[in-house]
Amino acid sequence: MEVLDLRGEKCPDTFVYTKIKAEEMGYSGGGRLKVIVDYPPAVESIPRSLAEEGRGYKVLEVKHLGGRTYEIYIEVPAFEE
Amino acid sequence: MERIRAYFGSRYHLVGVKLFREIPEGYPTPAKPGKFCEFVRRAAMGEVILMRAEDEECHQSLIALGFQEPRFVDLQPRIEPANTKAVLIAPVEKVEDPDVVLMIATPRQVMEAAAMLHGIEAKFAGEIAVCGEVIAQPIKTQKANVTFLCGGARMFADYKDSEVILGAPPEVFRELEARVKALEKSCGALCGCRTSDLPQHVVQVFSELGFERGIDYFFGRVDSQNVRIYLNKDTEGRVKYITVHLPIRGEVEPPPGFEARRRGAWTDLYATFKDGEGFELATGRGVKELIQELVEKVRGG
Amino acid sequence: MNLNEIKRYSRQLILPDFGTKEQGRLKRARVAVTGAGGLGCPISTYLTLAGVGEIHIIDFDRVELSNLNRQFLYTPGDAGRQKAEVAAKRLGEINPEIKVEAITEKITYDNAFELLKGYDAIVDGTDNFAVRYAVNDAAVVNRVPLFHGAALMYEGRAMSIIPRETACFRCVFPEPPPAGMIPTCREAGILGSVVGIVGAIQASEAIRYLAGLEIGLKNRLLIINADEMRFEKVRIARSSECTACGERFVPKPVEEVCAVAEEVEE
Repeated sequence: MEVLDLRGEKCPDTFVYTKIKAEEMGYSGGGRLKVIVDYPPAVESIPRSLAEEGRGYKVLEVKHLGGRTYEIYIEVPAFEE
Repeated sequence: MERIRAYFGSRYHLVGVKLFREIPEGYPTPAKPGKFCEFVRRAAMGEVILMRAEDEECHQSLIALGFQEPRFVDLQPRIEPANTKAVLIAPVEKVEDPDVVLMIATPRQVMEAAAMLHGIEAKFAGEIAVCGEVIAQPIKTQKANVTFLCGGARMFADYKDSEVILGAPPEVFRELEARVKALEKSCGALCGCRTSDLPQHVVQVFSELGFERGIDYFFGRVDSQNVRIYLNKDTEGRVKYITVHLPIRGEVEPPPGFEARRRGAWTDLYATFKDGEGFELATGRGVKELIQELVEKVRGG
Repeated sequence: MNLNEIKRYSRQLILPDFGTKEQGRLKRARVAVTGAGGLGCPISTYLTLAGVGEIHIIDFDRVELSNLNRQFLYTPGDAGRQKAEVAAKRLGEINPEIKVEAITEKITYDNAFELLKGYDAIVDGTDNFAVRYAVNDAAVVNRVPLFHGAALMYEGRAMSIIPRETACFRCVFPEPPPAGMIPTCREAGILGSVVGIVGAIQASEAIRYLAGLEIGLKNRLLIINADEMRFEKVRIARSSECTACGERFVPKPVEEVCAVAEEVEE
């Protein structure tokens, strides 16, 4: 599983970086991505931005680790090219 | 609420925001999607915008304004339950019965507003700012709030570093307007232009009349009467108004054309005049005569 | 990409026609920059910033104070040092995610074909005709796309050469100008910002080409007049008589036009 530690980042960087990483993973066979944020609005905006891409990203789970820290688990499909 | 805009000398309109549970007819929608904070700024420049869910690019905003429920985190402040279908964002004169009124302002302007309102309790976090802190929050608490914007607003909607937003239910702004009107009439210390800000030729007019400079007024004696003069600028920054204060000892009824304000054992009789109406600030013509006339009136002459 | 690369390139990755695939192509590209002077500095810098994976800077000159009105990679303390080496070191610090190497060799018609082999692109920053023609011919023979530029006083030129597909430098200019007709920077002068414009244009064309995007200067000569800020695109075409890319390749080395002997600073 790939991990993207975006603690300390705020919107819009949180979903911009997640989109970039997810796209890269999609082009190299897909896989699972764990994104760690400590900025609550990102927990709502990341799943929505990924859905907007229309590439079949799936949010599997969101874990609240306490305080303002959350983990978002994403399934990235392999893109057909 | 135009008096507020003129008084603060702001080039921005006050913005009225109204939430709808059904999409109303007859309002223009944006040509392409944008962000709520961006639409607010455009409305402050005069545009009328009806924003629907598909016009909003920012996810936080959709939650804060009540278009969508959050799925994972209960982000606050937000409009709940989420039954918003459209938001009207326009100059306040064009919004009938707005839910919130917004004023894009500098910290100094907010300071003045806060003083007039006898205090504002601000709650801000630099997140979900325009949509949350000055829309959802004032709607929930029915009180004013100040937002220092958020990264998204400053990055995408082009707000300057010096800008913040004051948001409040319309009653609060009506109260603000009443205070502004009262102040304008009396031209208190808060609204006299600093004499150091005045053009040199205007300062000269008064010094030639024997007046001395205070911080925001001129003072002197005309026909043995103490006189204080306050000058005010219009919204374009030009010196436009002159208010003459004549302090009289005791409790005095104002003669016609004057207002009165008690100050301890004194009464300030004052009247405001507009440049060009009987006198000219640029040349000084007629200023002395105007003051003498006022002193005579007050003396009962 | 690691998180540093994602952050570093994030502002270009959100461009509509530029994504991780394009960035990946840049990372895998190997580019030669001929010259580390007025054109070479902006060219190599922009390639570095964009994330081209391997950049070779070829220059045998040393830094002189008179370079410093335009060659922004160098400081007064670098005077006397090899430009290519200083540039490579500085660019390596600016972007540690890529590799920048210095090749301190003088390009001649004899060694150009060997030196400029195996690259995905060549971006030409040379300032004299002899080397320019050598680079052009080598690029054409080795089938390496060449991004040409030139600047003097307030005039600049740029064109993008895809060997055997578009016009090459020699198709447009089969012969160098007569000796003494075109002055050098030493004689005529050049403003840093003007040569910067040209170098940035060359780099933009190269970057877009390497990323797999459409470019604007194929069979077009861009003429820039920087005193009036006039930009003109002139149509050019491949010539079947061109000694480089025409029907038959004819090696045609060009003599050094500059009559001023190279000053070697001790």
